[in-house]
Amino acid sequence: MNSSVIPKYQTEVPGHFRSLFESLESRLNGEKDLVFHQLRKKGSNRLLQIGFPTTRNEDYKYTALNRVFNENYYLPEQVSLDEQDEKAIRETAKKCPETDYICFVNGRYTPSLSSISSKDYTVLSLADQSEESELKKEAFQHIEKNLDESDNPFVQLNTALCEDPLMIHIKEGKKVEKPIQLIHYYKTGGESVIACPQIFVVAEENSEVNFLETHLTRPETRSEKIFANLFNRIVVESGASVVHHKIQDLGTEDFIIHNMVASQEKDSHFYAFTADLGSRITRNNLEVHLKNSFTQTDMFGLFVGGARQHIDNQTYLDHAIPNCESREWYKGVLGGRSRGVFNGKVLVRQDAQKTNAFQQNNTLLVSDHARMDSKPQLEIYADDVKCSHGATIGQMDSEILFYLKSRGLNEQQAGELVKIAFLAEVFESVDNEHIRKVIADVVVDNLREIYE
Amino acid sequence: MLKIKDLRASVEDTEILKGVNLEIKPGEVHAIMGPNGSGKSTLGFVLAGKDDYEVTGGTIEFKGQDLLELDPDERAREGVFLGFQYPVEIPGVSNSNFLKMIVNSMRKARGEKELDSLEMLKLLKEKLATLGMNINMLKRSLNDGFSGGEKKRNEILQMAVLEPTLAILDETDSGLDIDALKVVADGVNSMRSEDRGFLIITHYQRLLNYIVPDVVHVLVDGKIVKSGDKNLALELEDKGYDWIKENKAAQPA
Repeated sequence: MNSSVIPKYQTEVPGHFRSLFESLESRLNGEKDLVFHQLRKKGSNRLLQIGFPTTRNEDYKYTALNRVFNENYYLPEQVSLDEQDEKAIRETAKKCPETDYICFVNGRYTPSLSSISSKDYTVLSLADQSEESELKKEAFQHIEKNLDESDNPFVQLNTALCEDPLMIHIKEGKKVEKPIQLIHYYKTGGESVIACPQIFVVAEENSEVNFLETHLTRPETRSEKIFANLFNRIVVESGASVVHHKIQDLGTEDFIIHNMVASQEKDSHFYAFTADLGSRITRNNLEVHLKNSFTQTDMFGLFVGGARQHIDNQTYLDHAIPNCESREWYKGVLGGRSRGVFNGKVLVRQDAQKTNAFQQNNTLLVSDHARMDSKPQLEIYADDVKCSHGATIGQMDSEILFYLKSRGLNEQQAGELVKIAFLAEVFESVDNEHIRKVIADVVVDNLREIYE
Repeated sequence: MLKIKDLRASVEDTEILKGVNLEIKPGEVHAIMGPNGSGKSTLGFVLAGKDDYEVTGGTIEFKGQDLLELDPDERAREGVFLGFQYPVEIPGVSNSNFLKMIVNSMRKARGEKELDSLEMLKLLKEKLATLGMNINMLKRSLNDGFSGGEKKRNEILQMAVLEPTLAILDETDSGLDIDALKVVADGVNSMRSEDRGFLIITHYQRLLNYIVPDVVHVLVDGKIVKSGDKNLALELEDKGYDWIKENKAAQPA
């Protein structure tokens, strides 16, 4: 494949981002010739070619990332964790009982803080090349292909600065019984930190797996920022099912760009759920590619914003194949001076007959200064399809509030109930009871905190 | 327990209540009847504290305190209940969770111990049985997709669990078939007690065959123009509201 590209975005990648790659390279010593480092280099080069976006670019029209780009970050080497760090990680893991968990510290896979009991899947560190394996080779091919095909600068940036990509390989026909938690732990040491975890999931034919991805930071009070730039690549083979939930409740001055690309083979199911509650700027780039028929794709999201938070969900689903079904539903509550963006594109190509696609975005604005820009896009080129899409932006209904108060609930209880009820349909799509409870608890906490 | 004196209320600068006087003593059931647009529902909303209505004059005393000083939720906690003519639908809130929430927040406000899940289930089952209602109703979302009759029965269920001192029922009979009407009436009758008062707002006399009132008032153009016993309702049914209006016009100023 020809990897030369016309720059997509006009803003040059600032020098302090380029020097991050150099500093990573300089501490690698003998590892520079290893396969993955070649991929990092490729990511770094492609990033420089593609450039960074500005609000003049259509897909970043409502989301200015200057704050993210202007900050000086360092890419920490392995940090030492103290007892309290480890305690915080274990406690987070315990919130969702009966799970395996995989911990990442500042983006780096940390086996000593992980707990893997199932033999139905394998976890492989891709930077560690002491052992050759077919799986690794396959992974590298995939990653290279991603880099060549993607014009998303944050996927390139992720690969360029990823210290240790992790492959999670679900064996053919295995139904992984316990959900797997992916816990991202960030520890800053007085300077702002950039973390670029890359997680590469392959669910082999007829396998099943359920993930819960969360973020955790210490100390809670700090002036330095975290910029988490994640990339999840998920391959769902024939008849397989991958369910992925994420909860993002980073600090109110942190930044997160979460890139996720999934591809689905015949009869497969992919479910993505995101709850975005924290961080100053959140950008989710979710892309799903359908490779064969009779797939089911679910994309659910909820967001709660307050203060000056900015939450941007971009989704792209390409129906290129007939007989596939998709459901997409994003709901959010925005207060303070927060701002939300939803841009969901569903493409139904000419060949994709018998497509069943549903898309919806609803937002509740609970303050006069909150703002939502919603752009549900459904492009249909096939004629025998069942598709619907829509968006609503509304305010608190005073009739409902009065009804609730007339039953003795105070202003705050009534408001909370209305907001929770508003988000309910998205909650209810979460099948696993424990995971639903973990999500509900953190969402309710966040709804309490936002000001109207 | 409720003393309304010369109550005047407006909505968007239009005066709707033009000096209402009414007193309800504990244990009494009062019915307010009147033609459409006479201000019946406004009276209910003003008592419950809806802020779309501006009280421009008069007083409301409830259990010795100034009701107009209290917010809607405070009034509810003091024991005022309004059964809505059009109960709102809230998808996403399960009926059982909602009932639990309002019962416990009420108990908490009254300094009583909150009920645990088992105690709550026992209470709800007991009330459902009294009202001849199906337990499946609890699993559904609050009023979401309920038929008119189901919504009204649900209002009565809420009233039953909240055990108010003053229950105002705003056209609870409208849109009900005869069976649903009996359920609602039985619910109300089962709750009649010597320390509880009822204000039944209705357009038709029909409901008063089942809930026999102590006093019937006729509200016309924002004023109570006639009060009497249960026979007044029958007379109205017979002669229509025009009879009262004509009577009123004939009265010397």
